[in-house]
Amino acid sequence: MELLDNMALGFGVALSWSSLLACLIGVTVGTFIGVLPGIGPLAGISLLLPLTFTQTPVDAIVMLAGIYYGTMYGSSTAAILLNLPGTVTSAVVCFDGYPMAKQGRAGVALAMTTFASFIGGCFSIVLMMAFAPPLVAVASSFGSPEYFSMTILGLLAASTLSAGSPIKGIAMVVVGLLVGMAGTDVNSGYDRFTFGVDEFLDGVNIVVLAMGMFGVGEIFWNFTEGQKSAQVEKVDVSWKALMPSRRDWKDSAFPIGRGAGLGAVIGILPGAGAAIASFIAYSVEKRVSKHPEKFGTGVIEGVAAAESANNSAAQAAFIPTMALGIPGSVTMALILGALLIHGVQPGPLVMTTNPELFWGLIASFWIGNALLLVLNLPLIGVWVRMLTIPYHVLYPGILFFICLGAYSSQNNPFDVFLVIAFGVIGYGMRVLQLPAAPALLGLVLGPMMEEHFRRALLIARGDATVFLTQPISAGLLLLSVILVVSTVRSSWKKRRRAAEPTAAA
Amino acid sequence: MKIIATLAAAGVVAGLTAVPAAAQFPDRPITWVVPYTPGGITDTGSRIIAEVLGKELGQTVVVENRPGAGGMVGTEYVARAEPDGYTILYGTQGTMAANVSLRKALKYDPLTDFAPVHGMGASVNTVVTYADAPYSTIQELVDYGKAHPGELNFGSAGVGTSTHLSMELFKTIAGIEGLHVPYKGSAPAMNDLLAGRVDVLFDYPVSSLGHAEAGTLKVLAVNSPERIAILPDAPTLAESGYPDATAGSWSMIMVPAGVPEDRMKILTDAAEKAIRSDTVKNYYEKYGSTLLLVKGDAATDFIEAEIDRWADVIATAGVPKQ
Repeated sequence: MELLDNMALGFGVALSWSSLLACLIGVTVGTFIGVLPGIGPLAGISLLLPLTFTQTPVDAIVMLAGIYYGTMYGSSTAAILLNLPGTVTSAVVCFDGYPMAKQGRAGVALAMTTFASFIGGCFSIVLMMAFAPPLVAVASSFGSPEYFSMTILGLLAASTLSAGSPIKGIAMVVVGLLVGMAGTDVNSGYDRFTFGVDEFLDGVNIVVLAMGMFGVGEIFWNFTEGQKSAQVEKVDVSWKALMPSRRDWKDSAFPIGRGAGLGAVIGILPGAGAAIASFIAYSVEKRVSKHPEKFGTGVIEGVAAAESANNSAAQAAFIPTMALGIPGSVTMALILGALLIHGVQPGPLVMTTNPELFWGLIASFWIGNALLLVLNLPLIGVWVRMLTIPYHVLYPGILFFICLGAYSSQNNPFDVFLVIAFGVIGYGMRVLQLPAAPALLGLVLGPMMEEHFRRALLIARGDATVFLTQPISAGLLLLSVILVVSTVRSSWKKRRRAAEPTAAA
Repeated sequence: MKIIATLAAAGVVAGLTAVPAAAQFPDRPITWVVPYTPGGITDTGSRIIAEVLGKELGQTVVVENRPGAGGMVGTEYVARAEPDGYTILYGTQGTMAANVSLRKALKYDPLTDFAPVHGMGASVNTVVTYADAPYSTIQELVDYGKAHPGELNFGSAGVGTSTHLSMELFKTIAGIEGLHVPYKGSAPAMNDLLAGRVDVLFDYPVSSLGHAEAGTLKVLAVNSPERIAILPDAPTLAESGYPDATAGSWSMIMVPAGVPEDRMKILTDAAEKAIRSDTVKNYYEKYGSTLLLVKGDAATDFIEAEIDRWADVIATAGVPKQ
């Protein structure tokens, strides 16, 4: 019954007028910041941070958290409509969301992401309420060997991520890994592939690469080839056309469920985060699907799973931040900083010393998610109308926002040039039919894989069996082997089946 | 007029000739470049001081984060900025002292490209270990380290960070061997410490406190000259027998070299009042830091001494120069 007591306490706090208002402001600001490409939760939270100095700690954290997960809702909008991932997580939504928009099903995709986000978020909240203390134990049981094995599994899953030639897919993963090599080597402090440019010392900004390769590349592509693809003249914004059909729901139900579960598990691990959760959820769907070849052409399962995983992970990420005092991302570090300003000491005792804050925050997630649902559904019609704006008006505007977003991430014009450079590269890749998604995943996972591989060996004094003697790590590696074997077997079978009729003839 | 009034109240009379200029400067917002990402102790500290400093100056002080390369990107930016007093910098032990010995191609000189306005805080490191560790004091740790050479893992927030350098300093002085395990920031290092995957971590009081209270880690010592208010039971390294291992990082408000003297004076006086204000004092206390009350020539001397000191530590520890 402790759970009910905690929930009662939480809702008692979160339903106060000031907390409700804080939550509403947070999620509204978050949604709009998320819609703007490249302006992530970090920029939003740091802008509004000074406002929270005068609030109570609960209201402050409720508002900042609202911005964070509100951005997660909003960032899929530009991804679906314009192939513009504002955050890494929404890059996965591009894969099938953008093709859906091109088929005139943008409204359905947007509605489904909203519902999937809501369900994923709620699932994670329930999990947090019921099992917060044991979940914390899971998070701290992940050391470098476990993280390394997880990235191996992630990269293997990624090689099957894109449609088309698997060789091109693997080649692009390698490109991503190579780009990920640039920066300061964690172990020695030496510079690698920085060409004497200080801005490269921290590595290539993932959002800049994503916006360049996907968004700017897409715009350049449309300049040259776009005349052939017809501009959307009119969109049906009737409620019926915007809402998913019964069939869409049937297709999405299980992906949403699986995505929510995966997101909750991966989101708990500090440092793994929402991006990896959505990538893995997407490749799981592709694997279990009866028609994996259709992924990437606009199937709703891909959108639903990725978005549900992403929001589920976003909520779960609060567990290590609050209960261990260990922020999994820069954004979480900022929220942690806000807690500290208000004199709240995050850590194992936060649930006992500040129960009203902890449970109030979690209860506010429910309210925030419900508000986001109410806020986002009517907006879908507005966003979809954006597609009817002529390209020559729309694209300069988008390029402006991309540049703004790239600049604002570090207040440095360097990133603006970089996003344009990646746009040119992205255009070249479109021409050569090289997929951008594996490159992005290579860049996300590569540095993580290297860091944890080397640290695991460092701590084990060079003993490579550490990856097999740690049970979680061994389990993840076993899964990787099964994945490889099953892929090889199924492609063998397919080839045999394809070969048989010709042999008979 | 408020500025003149406060200056007079502070007993500053020598600068009376500068009063007409004081009425003019600053007549627009001041940009405070913080060369780190938002969040974290640096950024939050700057935002709180910015608010107080802005009130003292009668102008808004806008915090602008220009992160990158461990603070070098933003610091270089300020080195090249117009020395009109409208661009100020958050200088640290890293960017103003340690980098001189860590970077081969440092594109600025802390002593000639910048002038110190006023010190801000001196922060302390906690020496922490996991809850079940077989040692509970510094002496026991040193004994253990000597009995098991090369077995201990020392975590840090990254190569060349103050947690790394303070740790190397301690290892050298205590004469123990141990493996340096660098992390990307202190949060992941803490995660591994709590699970006992690394044995010792040089951390910050603010992130150790919650775990110390919960008993999930042990604080062996603090490396400040005196015990700190928020962790009164933790002995100093000096008390534990290693006075020379006292270290820690610090921060200082800097401007590009060449800011006119009258403006410099206005900035310094306002900064001094802001740093000594209760708001800032309480903030630093909460973080287990102390105020760094240096200005003018004393501040320059302080930076010079720090540059030499960390050069020695870096050379002894064998940290490669980039």
